[in-house]
Amino acid sequence: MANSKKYWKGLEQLDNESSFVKSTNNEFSENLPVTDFLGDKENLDESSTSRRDFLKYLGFGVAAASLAACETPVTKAIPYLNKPEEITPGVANYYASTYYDGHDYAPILVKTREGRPIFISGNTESSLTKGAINARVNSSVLSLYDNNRIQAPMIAGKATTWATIDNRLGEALKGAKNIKVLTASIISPSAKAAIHAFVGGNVQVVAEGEVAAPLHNNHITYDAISYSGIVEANKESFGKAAVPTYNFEKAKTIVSVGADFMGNWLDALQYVNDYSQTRKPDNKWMSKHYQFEATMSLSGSNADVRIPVKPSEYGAIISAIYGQLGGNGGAKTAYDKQIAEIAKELKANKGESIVVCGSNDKNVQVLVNAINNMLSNYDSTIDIKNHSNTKQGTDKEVMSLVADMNAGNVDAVLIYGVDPAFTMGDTFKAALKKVKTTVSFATKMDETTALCGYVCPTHHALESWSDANAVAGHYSLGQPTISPLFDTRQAEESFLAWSGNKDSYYDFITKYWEANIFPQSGAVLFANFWNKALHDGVVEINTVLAPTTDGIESMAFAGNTIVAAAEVAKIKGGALELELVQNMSVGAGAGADNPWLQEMPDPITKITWDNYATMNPAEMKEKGYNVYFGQEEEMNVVEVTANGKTIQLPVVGQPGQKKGTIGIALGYGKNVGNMETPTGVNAYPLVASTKEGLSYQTVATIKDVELSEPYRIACTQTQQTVMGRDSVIRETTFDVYKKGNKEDYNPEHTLLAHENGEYVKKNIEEFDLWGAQPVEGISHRWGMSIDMNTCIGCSACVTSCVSENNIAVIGKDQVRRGRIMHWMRIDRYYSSEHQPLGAIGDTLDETKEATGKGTIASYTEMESAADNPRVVYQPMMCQHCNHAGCETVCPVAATTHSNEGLNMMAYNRCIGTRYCANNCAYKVRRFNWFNYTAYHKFTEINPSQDDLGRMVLNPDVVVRTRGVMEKCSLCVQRIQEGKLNAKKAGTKVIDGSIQTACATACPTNAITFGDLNDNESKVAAGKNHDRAYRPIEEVGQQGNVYYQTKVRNLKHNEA
Amino acid sequence: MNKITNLTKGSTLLKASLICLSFLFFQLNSFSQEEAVAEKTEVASGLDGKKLFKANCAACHSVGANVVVGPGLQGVNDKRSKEWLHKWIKNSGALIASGDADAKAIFEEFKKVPMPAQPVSDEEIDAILAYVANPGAEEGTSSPSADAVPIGEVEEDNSLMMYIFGAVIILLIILIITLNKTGVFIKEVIADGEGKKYDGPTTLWGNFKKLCGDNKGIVAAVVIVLFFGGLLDLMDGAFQIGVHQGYKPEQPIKFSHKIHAGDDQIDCNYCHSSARHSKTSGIPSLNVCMNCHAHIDGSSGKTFMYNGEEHSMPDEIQKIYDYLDYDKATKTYGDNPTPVKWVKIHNLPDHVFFSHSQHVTAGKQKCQTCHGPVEEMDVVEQHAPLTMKWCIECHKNTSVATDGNGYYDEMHKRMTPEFKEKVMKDGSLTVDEIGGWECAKCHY
Repeated sequence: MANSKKYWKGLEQLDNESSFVKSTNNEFSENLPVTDFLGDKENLDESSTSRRDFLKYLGFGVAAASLAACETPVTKAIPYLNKPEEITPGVANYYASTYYDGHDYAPILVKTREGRPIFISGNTESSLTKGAINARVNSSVLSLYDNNRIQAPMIAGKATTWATIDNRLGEALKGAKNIKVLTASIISPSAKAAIHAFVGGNVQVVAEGEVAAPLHNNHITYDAISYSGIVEANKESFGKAAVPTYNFEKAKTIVSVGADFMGNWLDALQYVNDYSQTRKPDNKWMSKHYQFEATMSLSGSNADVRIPVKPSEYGAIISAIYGQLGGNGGAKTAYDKQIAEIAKELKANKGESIVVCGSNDKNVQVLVNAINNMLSNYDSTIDIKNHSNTKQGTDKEVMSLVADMNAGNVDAVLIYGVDPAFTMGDTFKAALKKVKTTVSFATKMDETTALCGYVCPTHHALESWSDANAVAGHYSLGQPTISPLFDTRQAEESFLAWSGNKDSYYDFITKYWEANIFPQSGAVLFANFWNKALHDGVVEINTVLAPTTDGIESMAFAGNTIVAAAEVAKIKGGALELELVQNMSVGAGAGADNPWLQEMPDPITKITWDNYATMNPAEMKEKGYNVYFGQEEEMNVVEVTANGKTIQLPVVGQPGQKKGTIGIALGYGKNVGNMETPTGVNAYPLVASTKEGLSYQTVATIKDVELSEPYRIACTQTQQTVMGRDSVIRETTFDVYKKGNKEDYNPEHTLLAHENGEYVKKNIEEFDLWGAQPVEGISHRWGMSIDMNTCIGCSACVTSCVSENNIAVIGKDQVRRGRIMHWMRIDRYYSSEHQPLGAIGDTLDETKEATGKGTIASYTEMESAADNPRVVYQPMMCQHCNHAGCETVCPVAATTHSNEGLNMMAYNRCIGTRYCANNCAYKVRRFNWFNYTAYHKFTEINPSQDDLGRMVLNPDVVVRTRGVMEKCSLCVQRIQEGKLNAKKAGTKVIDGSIQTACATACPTNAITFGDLNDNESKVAAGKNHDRAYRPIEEVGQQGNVYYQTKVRNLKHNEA
Repeated sequence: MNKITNLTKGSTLLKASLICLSFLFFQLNSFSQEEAVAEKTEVASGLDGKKLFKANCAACHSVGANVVVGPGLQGVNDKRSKEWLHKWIKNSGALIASGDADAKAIFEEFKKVPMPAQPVSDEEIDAILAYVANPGAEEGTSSPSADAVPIGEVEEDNSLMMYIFGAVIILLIILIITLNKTGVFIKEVIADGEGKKYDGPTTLWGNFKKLCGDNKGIVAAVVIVLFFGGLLDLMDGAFQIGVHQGYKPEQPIKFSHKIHAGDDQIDCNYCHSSARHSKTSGIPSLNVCMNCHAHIDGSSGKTFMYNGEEHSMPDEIQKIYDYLDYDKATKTYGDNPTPVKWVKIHNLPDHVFFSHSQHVTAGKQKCQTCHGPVEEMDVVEQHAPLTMKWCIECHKNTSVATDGNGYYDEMHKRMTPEFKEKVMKDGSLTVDEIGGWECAKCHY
């Protein structure tokens, strides 16, 4: 049955911790300290405000307010002097562009209003990403309007002009022996040409009197997160040093060993949409996803079968799979039973499976290649011929550069798009000191730039021209959507200028495209080709498979599996192993100073504004660590030591974490600009650096730290709970679903009624306290359909909503107090097959009774639930109930229902009683406790407090002030706009023409928005689907948001 | 005994309520007077020659002999024939083209600035000509009560009244003081006569206090009346906070809508082109001005009326050039243009979303519905109160422009028969009936 399982948001709920139980019964998770304040006699006596003073202020306040109201300021209206033809004030323009930061690649659409970019969504024209973006991509618009950006070029820390820079740098580079350019992977062919023109064009004096030929290898690619294990394994296996492309759309069996391919591994944005296509249970087949991993990742949380293992076992597991498939691998592992099953399934789906591994060890990757080769996956689900360009760096290259710098062989180094002082740490800092001329092109004063003599700030991506060739045959263009805000110059233009090319970078790109890409396209006129490319943002050329770089045509697998297997067998683990991961908000460091991303709860831990060490809760309890979250919960802080480096971090319990392992997110602790203190702690020093390359899995030790001040964490996990009602989530297994009996997986809610002397079951909808809302008989009925099968929890929708609806950033302290303002959240529920009998809220005694075991055994039983839970993600926002609880309790009718099915919220009418939030079954209403956009306490946190940061606000949505309630409006501004467009065109509203911000952001199209009254609409199909249900439907609120039962690809008895 | 007490109490209450009522009546009365004044002016500016002249001709012509833009019209009936005048007014260009000597001469005399064709009927022309022939007599014939008194004169009258009123009050105060003194003196004399010492109050204030003390009921009633009256006034005032109907600020360029939209008949959408496409109507950028003013550069040296004052046209047109850094002589643009900072007249609060294109394009509303007769305003003022009451009243009374719009056809199909019957009872589908009163239509 669908509802027999227990779902829990956190360990507090699983363990039925007393304070949690208490807090879930209150609207606010913690009591307001009113009695404390009033009870504090001393403080009250000290305070100088007497009752009479208070009355005086009150009187004065009223008088001043009414006087102020009489005085209306004169507003000025300043039109354009010469209005650009394409701009109509008040109407948004969309431009296709490209996002690439060395980590994520996504063709995007940029929405601009009056020349200001304000919103980023994915470009669905791209067959690579199919419109997928993540939270970092859509939050990047905020980083444009950042006063922390470097606003002018600098020499030795002093602002200067570009002419001076060009002169002085020209002098410095004249006669320089060895000029190196250090960049992230450059996927822009034009940028590459510009850089090569620079490093090749400069006269390179090798020895006295001897001039070297242009040296392209003076351009060194450094990926902050290294994938050189894969690159080198492919070089060995296929003679091609590159990262392949994966086609998850065809994969029936997916085995991932420590690779978070849906979150941050390689080109995750190119995989997620394809992956989600295989997760639709209405198709003939549904992919089965196995994940071995130590730390719960986004991919692991979505897997059908997730097996917690130690990172040191990754190699052994790959080797065992290879052995089971008939290869020469295969030492014994603890997971042989599962591996045998997996191997059987892989064999059955030859050519339709994918095996990936997150290890950066070349030998492991050679075995992965061997497995995929044996399964005939190459040219089917994996393509090494049309490789990906997004990861080109190898660790060896970078290491030799650092060695060269240390040896004093490098005269000048120019750094673009990477922050090696942050990611490589002291090694690079020491080496950089030995280089005479150092140039940085950063947009913000990061750790590397602070050490560089010449700072040549480049444009923000939204101010730049760019092109990209992420995968062979797939090109995209990036165009500026705003004039440069500061005195910056695009790095590529600097390279061109310094290599004597007088062209602007725009001219350079067009020339490059005319010469190189246009001839491949088969188009007739370049101007037409260019305009179309710029309009669409992407150009896809069906090339004949590119010949290999090394001239090997066959690309037959030629890896040495015997050596690889032997090397893999040598990998040793430790008592405690550390896995360094990236999370969805900060990534490799891109989001470190972005308030939207910092405030976005991590998809899995639901923690904001922090990084931390995740640990198995059972192990933590053994050590006496606190595993609970809450406003006043004090976290234990530990010293994590690995590779001789130590960092201090709070430790949090992560259900599903393998015992004996800890996980830490990279990218935090980045010092940017004039930020007072960076958020979190930099974990890059813990990355293991060996001769073979970097490793993100390593042995570590931890030591308790005594802090004088308690350390608290802002976690939204225990906030906004649904009061223990367990009909929020529905899930089933693939076989049950395919049997087709709706009663089995999505039963109707019924009540017994007494009719004609008999008891009859009647649908819940027939019992009604109120008359029906006329939403079906007048015009539209806006609604949403959310497929929980394709929702992967990535949270791109959360930041998209923040961006669209001007949602306030409130900072760690306020989030901790349960005041997060997000209109939509992704509820992450754990569930477990090991859970003993009974409902959520089982206490020790109940468990003892149910299992008939003793105290310790019962504890074990209870704890086991947290060892390997299943995860369900549920996007939760206002359900726009037709019989809404909030509407009936509002004393001033500030929230009412429209006949289009919307639950409307009139902010200017709200008086802030918060009754509505109290009465909302879904806990989706948010109260403005402060005036976040003006109060000085939030100046450091809220980007809307400075004039530049305010430019990102959506002018169609009002900015709410203190004391009013707010919530999801289903993007009513977009609905109104869409309806008006239809009226102007004189047609009906075309399905899909109106999209909410969350729906545009969803990389897997799990969110569908539309008109439920339009029978042909996708959303109506979603509503009428057999899997459709409404959370907590039994209370009869009749929401307009429908969810689709999650179907796991498991057998009924497995689940 | 009991009965009597009740009666007295009742009578006090009765008195108080009567005073209250009279206060209310006074309030109402003052309203009705204002309305009456408003009506009067409307009656005075009824359809007659003078009004037609002001609306159609006064921008360029005076009734005297002086030249404004075109010639002064004094004695024009004697100079030209009626037929000629009719032809000229209706289409001067055609008359010139037909080779009429007089027409040509005038055209040449006024530097070839054509008189725009006027959309007036023969009857209207006759009325105008009659007014021009005898402007003074026309005013004389109208009854004094219906006379549209120029605003300035009213103000003068008012100030005279104020002086008289002030004088009367001063006289009254002197009278009261004198009376008080006399009264006290008499009382003292009487007391003296009775051989007693007068121990009552001697000052005016003292007497007033005694009077109040002796008549507590009346004082209470007065206080109550004043309190509630004040409250009413406060409420009334509070409703006017933020309402700026009639707001008529001075603009950086004395742009006359009357000349452009009224006399020259330029379509509103020509300059405010965004109104059809966007939520904002858009203030035209200066390049739109230059579409015409690159040619009409004010070299004719004419003057125009703006806010009751005469201004030079070339000076105002020159301002456009100054803002654009444009050289009229060489017809070239400089590098240093500055934007015009117009004063915004219609200010909606931030929490209100209003879309022009919804009303203009989808709703097929005329600009004048909300903005009033802009074509008659030299200085634009806020015509409508822009209050929510005003919005929803219009939404209550306005029919939706459903005809021939596929969007509404689809909506119509979806409506249940009961709903259709309910809303079509009065024969029209008004905005509020399809949700035009819902909060989230304007507030989000």
